[in-house]
Amino acid sequence: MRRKAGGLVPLEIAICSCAADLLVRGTREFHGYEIAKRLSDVADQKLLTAYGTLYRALGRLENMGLLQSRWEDPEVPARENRPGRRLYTLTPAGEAVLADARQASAQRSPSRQRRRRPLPA
Amino acid sequence: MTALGVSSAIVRAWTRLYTWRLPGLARDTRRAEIESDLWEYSQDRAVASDILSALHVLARLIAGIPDDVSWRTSQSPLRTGPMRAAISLTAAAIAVLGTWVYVVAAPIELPAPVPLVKVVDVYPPPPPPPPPPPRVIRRTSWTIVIHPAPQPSR
Repeated sequence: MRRKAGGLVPLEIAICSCAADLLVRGTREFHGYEIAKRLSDVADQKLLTAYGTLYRALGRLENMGLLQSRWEDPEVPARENRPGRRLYTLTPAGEAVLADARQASAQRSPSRQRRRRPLPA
Repeated sequence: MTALGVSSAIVRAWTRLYTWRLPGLARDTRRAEIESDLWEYSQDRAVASDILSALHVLARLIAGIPDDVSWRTSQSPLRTGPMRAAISLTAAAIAVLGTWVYVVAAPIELPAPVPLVKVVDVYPPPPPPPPPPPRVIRRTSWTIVIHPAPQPSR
């Protein structure tokens, strides 16, 4: 999908929305698979977001300053015998952009609202 | 190797391919993220059967190939031939997937199936044997035997 200058594509808004939802539920940091699963649950889809699409979107959001990431302490995955996770966090800028996107979505005309899928709560 | 293992190996191979000759940080980060994602998916108890999981992983791979190629061209320090790189990477991906499909779709020796048609005797059963003829007793003469009456005992 072609993006407007400075704007977010629906997937990026959905990622920020899911991140905010996880934050409300007490999960401050999330990894890629976790957000992919959350996205599919919200959209009621069985297929998770494609690898390339998901991690490219996460990278874009990080470059825009809406997410920040860190690699978890290597001792944790070594102890649990699994690959390390890259943990993402929604930044205050991301929360502000998400609030703007939700406000813009709410101000759309009702006819357009009917055609578009509503943003996840 | 299971079907999920094969499809995960294809995802790893594709990730290695499109991150090939990228700067170390971008390359290692992407590979590690995909590895983590594959592991989390394999450990997720909610996933379906092995073959469905493998198809799911493959679908995620195929759907993300355009973004992978686009990401690759945006990361590559050599921007002289992004279109050629995209084409060659996509062709390589198709070749890898074709090999996988060929391996998966190869004929498998299966046991002979149970025949669906069962041959049964359609003729009616033979009639029961006729009953034996009634036994006829023919008497041609009659003999009357008079037994003397028993003497009373004293």
